[in-house]
Amino acid sequence: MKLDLPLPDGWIAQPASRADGRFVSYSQHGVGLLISSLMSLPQDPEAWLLRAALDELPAGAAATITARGSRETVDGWRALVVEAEVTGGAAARETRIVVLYQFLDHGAAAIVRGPAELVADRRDELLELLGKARPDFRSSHPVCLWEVFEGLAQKEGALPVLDGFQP
Amino acid sequence: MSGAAPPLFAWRRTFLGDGVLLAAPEGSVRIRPRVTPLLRLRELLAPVHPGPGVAGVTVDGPRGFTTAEGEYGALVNLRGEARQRTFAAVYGDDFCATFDADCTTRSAFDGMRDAVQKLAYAHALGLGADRFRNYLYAPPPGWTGLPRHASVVWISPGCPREHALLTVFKARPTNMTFSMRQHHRLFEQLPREFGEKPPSATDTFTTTQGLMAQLVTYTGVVNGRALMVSDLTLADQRYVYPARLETSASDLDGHAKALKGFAERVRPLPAPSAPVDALTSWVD
Repeated sequence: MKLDLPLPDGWIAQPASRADGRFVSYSQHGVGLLISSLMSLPQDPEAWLLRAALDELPAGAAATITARGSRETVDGWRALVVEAEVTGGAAARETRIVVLYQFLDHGAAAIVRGPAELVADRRDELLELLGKARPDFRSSHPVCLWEVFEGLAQKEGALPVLDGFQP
Repeated sequence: MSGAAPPLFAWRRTFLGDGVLLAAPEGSVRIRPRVTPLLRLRELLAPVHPGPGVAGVTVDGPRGFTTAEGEYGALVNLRGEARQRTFAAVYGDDFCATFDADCTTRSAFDGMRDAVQKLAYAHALGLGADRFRNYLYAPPPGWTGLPRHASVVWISPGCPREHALLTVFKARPTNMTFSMRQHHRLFEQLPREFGEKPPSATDTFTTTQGLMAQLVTYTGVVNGRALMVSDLTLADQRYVYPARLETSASDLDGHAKALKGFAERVRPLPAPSAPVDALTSWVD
């Protein structure tokens, strides 16, 4: 199971930046993008979003929530969005866009971080990209006996014969 | 099974880290009683072959079978001119046991295949029949299965715009224990929103596989969303096989048709059958 977010050319995978291992990291032209795996939907999605937006602040920096709302992906999945601005400290002014997707009782997140000017210039493009996310619920392991015995059926769509012999 | 009398293998047993090896002068059988994670049969079979350079390989199977305990398995035999591989798997709930035989004595090919067949058929997974069990059904084509505790939720390709979920719960013995009732309340019982309107009349029918079926449909509004839920309960003498269809549609006939179609794609669980003695030639 994973979040399927098709990235256009130019996004480059980065070394993992978070210790929990649930995110993969990409960057393009100075803008970073963290994509989570599928997880159980947080009990309080709003609180989770705020925590994610204010996470990993540089020393001496402060964050302000600048926007929050709800959107729909192109497939119709609900997505909560929070935007934050990080100022102060040693780093340049940073904009963060945090999206928490709701896929039935699962969730996934995508987080954009980058210098405020760069993100502002590409905001529409980035939101359009984030709107293309969809869940990939497929498991690498079979989830039912039908999948276990896939190919054993004598014709497409039929149940496999599982009483073929008895010593 | 071949008509010729199988040779009496003088097995010697060696314990391995993941099972045992039965070795005889004619060949060997490696038994791994617990292979995890669960793999598709074709994934298990992918590395099984008589070896490079073995000519004239014929493949028999894979053929499905049911063990003496009533569990599902499959066996394939790959026979070359000078070497034969026989591989069987018996599936538990979340693991399988495998039997991998290698025989290089041509006169023992039939006997080795039959020995593996007997070993697999008589293998004890030890899970017992009185349990929650996976059963064989064909999911709706194109839907994606999401495993949950003791169930699989099948998500329609049109989700979320066309909300349709089919939940297939594990089969359970017909005699509900207190623990099973608790499980039902925690993980399966519909929320109270579906109790505000009376359900449909119970539709009863019998599937072509001989399962008695009951179908009841409920409607309710959950988080502002109108939902229709149909509960299908299939049963034989030993097990109950529950399933549930949830959609945002309001087409009662469509619901019934979809679930009746699913009911026809459910196979009852096999009963345990007579055991065989697979190790009559044991000498170790």
